[in-house]
Amino acid sequence: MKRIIVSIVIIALIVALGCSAIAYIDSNNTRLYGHIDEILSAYSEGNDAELRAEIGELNRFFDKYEKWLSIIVNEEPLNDISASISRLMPMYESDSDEFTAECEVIRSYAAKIQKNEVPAWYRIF
Amino acid sequence: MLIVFIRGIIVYVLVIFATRIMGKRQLGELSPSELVITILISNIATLSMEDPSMPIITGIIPILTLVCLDILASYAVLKSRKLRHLISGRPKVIISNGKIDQQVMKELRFTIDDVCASLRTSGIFDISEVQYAVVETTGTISVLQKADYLPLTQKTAAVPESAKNPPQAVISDGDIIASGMAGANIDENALRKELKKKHYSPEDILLCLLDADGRLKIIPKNENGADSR
Repeated sequence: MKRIIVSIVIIALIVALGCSAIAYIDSNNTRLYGHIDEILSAYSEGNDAELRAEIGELNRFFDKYEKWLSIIVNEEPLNDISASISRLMPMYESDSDEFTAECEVIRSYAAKIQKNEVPAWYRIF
Repeated sequence: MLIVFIRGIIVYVLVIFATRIMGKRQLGELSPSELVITILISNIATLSMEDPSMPIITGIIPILTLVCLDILASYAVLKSRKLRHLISGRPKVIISNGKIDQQVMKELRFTIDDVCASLRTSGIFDISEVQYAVVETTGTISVLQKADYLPLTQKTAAVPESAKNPPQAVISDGDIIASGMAGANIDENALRKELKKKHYSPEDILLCLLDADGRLKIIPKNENGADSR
């Protein structure tokens, strides 16, 4: 009987852990999108100081977020986001016209991570 | 390198926990589904241990899920006969009164060599000696020999019973074993008194057995052979 209770508790914990992981990614992705929006608005306004500060802020935020996220998801998409974030500053400094696109790439990678954690029949099968 | 080492420790602890929680059945007694789960667990454990790009949780969760489902299924099987037959199958009679049921052999995809080999492991070399043989759900064959070939027992020879409990280890490597003393109905003070009479202290003893008649068998440390003073 003890084993049954332990099993039920473990299954409940796994479900709870899965749900909290989704909630965690959801809330942190919202913050990530917020940072990207700030960067894009500073970029469109041509506010150099704010843009540099926001890119730095995004870097720091993702460093922390990545540590926890790496417990839940594979390293590959995290490396992609990391690489995109580190490309932002050089792109801005070289006045690349792909700056906005790179910001959207980060957003889409983050959204993909979030989507992959939500159980759906097509992802299960 | 260190990451793989630490992951190895985590997976080791997890696998020990998983096997302990799954129960004490031996490999030969596993039903086919349990065997598959055991192999699956070892496979998942290997994957999560050697690939550092994969979060270890992606190995831990399927292992725990399989173990928990196995335990819950075994509980359900315990409660429902129908489910038991569905999950574990039914034992099948393969030999009855010395005759092999070839239909059952075909169903189970057993060859005559498999049957003979199983009988030989039970000490039977002639199928006609078998009264009844059943293929268990684990795939092993249980055999009942015909009465004429059964070994003589005390009961069939009408000899009075003389079975006694085996001797209990009460001291092992200098340590007094509480469970052994409980099994031999002796307390620590009485044991120490007995040892004192024989000029021993527990620390001097490698192994001390107490038989059903209350006799101590002592193997002291640093000496060869048994000393039953």
